Amino acid sequence: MAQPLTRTSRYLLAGLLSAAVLLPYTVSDQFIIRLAIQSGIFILLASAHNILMKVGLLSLGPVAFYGLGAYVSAILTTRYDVPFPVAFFAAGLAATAAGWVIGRLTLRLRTAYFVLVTLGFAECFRLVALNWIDMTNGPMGITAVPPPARWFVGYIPYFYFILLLVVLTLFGLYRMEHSTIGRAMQAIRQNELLAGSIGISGFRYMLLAALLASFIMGLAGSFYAHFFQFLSPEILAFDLTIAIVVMVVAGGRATLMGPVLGAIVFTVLPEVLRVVQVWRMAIFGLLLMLMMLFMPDGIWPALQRLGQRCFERVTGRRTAAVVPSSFGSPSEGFAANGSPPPVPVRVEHEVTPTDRSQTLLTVERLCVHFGGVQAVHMVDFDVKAGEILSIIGPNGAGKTTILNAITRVGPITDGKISHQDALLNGLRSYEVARCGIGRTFQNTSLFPDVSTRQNLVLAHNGLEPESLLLNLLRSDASVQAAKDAEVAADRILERTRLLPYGASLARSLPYGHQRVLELGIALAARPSLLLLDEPAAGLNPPEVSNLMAMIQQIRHEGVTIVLVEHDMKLVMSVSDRIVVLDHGRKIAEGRPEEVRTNQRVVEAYLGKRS
Amino acid sequence: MVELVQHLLNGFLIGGIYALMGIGLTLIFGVMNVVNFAHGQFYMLGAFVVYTVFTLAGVPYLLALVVAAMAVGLLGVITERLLLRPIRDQPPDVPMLATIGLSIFLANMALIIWDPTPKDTGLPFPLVGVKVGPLTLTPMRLFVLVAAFVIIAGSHLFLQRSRMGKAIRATFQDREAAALMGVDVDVVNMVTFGWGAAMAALAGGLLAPIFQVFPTMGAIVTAKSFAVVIVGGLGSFPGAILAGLLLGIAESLGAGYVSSGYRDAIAFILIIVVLVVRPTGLLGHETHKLA
Repeated sequence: MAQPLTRTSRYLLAGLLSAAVLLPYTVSDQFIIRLAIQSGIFILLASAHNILMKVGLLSLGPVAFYGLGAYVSAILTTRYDVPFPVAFFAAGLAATAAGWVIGRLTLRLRTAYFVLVTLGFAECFRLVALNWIDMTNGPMGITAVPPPARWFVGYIPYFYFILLLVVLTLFGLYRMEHSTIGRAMQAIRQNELLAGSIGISGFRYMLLAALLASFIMGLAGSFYAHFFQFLSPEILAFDLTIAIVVMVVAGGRATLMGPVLGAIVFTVLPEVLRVVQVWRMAIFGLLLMLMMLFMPDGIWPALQRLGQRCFERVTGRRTAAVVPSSFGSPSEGFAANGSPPPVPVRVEHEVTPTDRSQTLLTVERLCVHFGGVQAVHMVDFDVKAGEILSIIGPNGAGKTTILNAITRVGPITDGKISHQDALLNGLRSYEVARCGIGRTFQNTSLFPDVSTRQNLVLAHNGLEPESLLLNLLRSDASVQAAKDAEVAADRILERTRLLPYGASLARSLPYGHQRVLELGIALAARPSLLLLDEPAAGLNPPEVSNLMAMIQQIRHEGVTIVLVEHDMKLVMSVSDRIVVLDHGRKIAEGRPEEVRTNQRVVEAYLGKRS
Repeated sequence: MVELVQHLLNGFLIGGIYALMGIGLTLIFGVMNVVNFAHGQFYMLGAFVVYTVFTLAGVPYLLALVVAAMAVGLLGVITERLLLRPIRDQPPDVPMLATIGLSIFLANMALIIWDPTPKDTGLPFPLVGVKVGPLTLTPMRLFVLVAAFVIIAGSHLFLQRSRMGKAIRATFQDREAAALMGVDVDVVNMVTFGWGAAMAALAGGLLAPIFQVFPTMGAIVTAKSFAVVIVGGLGSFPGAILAGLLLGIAESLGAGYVSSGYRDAIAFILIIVVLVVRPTGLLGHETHKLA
């Protein structure tokens, strides 16, 4: 992921930048420079809005922060004679503050709810701007907003000012994309639940995205006010939101260049469409519909695909194998017939293993009730360091509910769960993950739209420095973290025998490989305690034996394992101890041979003899 | 006191219309998982069809309403078939943006066809005051109240009793299970979208003689329908009715006693407050159910 720019793209970038710098000297038409400045504003807005897309959020409230920045800057300079540089940063900070407040209130909402609540905030801002006439002049607007400095005459100074802002923003976003933060955001967009289970806080990065986006929008708003020198509530209109969203989505959401391209196309396009006069907006709407129908992921990705195809045709070779031509089994030669795993056992964990007297996890009187349903009731058990503990029971016995309670993905009604003397009840799922508790999910849970290898790189994220500054400045720690992630990913690919599929999209893997990849993802976060939720479900017998060997190997490396499983052969052969649940209650606990002969267990599975 | 009751009555009237809008929107969301940004444009088109058929062509008002519902309903069916079905499996923002495109397209086509000046449709009923106690009601307003009630009750019966209604409710609960039980989910989607559009058109047609008709009237109605659906709980039929009435009354009282400038803000403030305090809405559940 962190591959450096190729030579071609470096030249291309340098060419584009010098073309931009020289634009005012090569074009005499003032109208075009003005259009370039407008494009610049929209590049800022679209790129900022796109930060939210990177964490998978669609907001319909970007104008709130843009408008707030513009009004703060205009009011400070016209009413209070504040110098422009101060007003400019005040605009950014005011927008950031608003982003923080609104983000804290709304970021737990998803999809349609989030879309509509952000729309609600933007409209409320617009109505305040319209009606708080004492401060904003209402619909009349604020006139005679001063230029940033006395020497801002004509379009050219504004052009270089916005160019500087655009270059800084894009450079920052580029740095961010190829850092721990960018990878965390990618993980959240792909699968927020899984990201939490490997120590990535969805809320933290969403709030960070909201703060960055609103800061940039606030600055863009200030620039707008001082460029047009007039400001009215029009800046908060819903149409503008649509324009920004269209630029991002049409350009290519969650890509770096997509919003830039989208911003330029959709600033220039309406001007071109002026020739068709009244039909302009109707055509615009039609284009938007067609784009969603035929290019739903945007122009930039479509261009990239086209470019790649041309490249392949010219050079006659395939660039990257997206899907390998044939799928072998990952278990080929690996422990399928009881032979020892060929990969050398490597102890990666600093946990002092196999001291089985030490208790790692304690579950006391755990109750999880859903309304009147007692999914789990008064369950006690503990997990000793270094052991494999299995939890079994008929369907609906509450096994997954317990795993969810431990990893704080699901609720706890009553009782205590503690890990090495620390109480887990009050934690969030990513915090549990950071205590060294990893898990897999009953339904296959991966980062579907990135490569198998990238899945493992992303899974390393919780171990990396998350500070924004460290990442933007590309500190030693963050560079080292990226290297570590790559190394760890390769090592796990090797261990799980997924190396031939490293470049394949995770969702294109066959089911058996996906389950193995899930295990790899959990391992990449370096847990000391690993909770496996029915890892063998749907696997064929060789795959199950392979899994069995892997589980044992993981335990040899010092990882404690809690296994929820229906496959009795697997459970009986790997477990040190077994907890049996039925209807949410613990009915037995003990070594496999004890449980096997326990009367209540037999009854729960086979029914009472009448 | 009389003033208060008059405000309440006005609120009830507008609220009934909001409920009509909200029911369609909430059904479309529940069944198709699409947030329809063109909903207010269907309302606008309904009003314009009534204006064209009733005012310009002189067809009786009731018939004009039927024409509006059928024409816009058909447009809804076509939209589902040509625009929404091909992108059904895309992430939810793709259909959302497609309906935004449709909304822009429809509003601007209306601008070209009917020009931007606001139109008066004229009244289909004589302008006499009907005294109900101390209150005065015009026949038009009475008709709107009754019609809104009839349409809502009819929709309810359709959902509960008819075979199609049951198929819609089944799809609403679980699309895959419904498909496996032999429900033709494509037809359900088409009917739901067409019917939601027709209800919006009826709402527009009913209010057309009371307010003016203009091409940009749809946007704010879309926003208010969102408010109704959010407050009532996304996907809740009774929630949409309750929230529609609530919003109508709140706006009417707010405009009467507080400030008319912020009248339109009430809808958005309701959205924010409800989502921040109780994200599932008044009558919504974690897994939204249809009554």
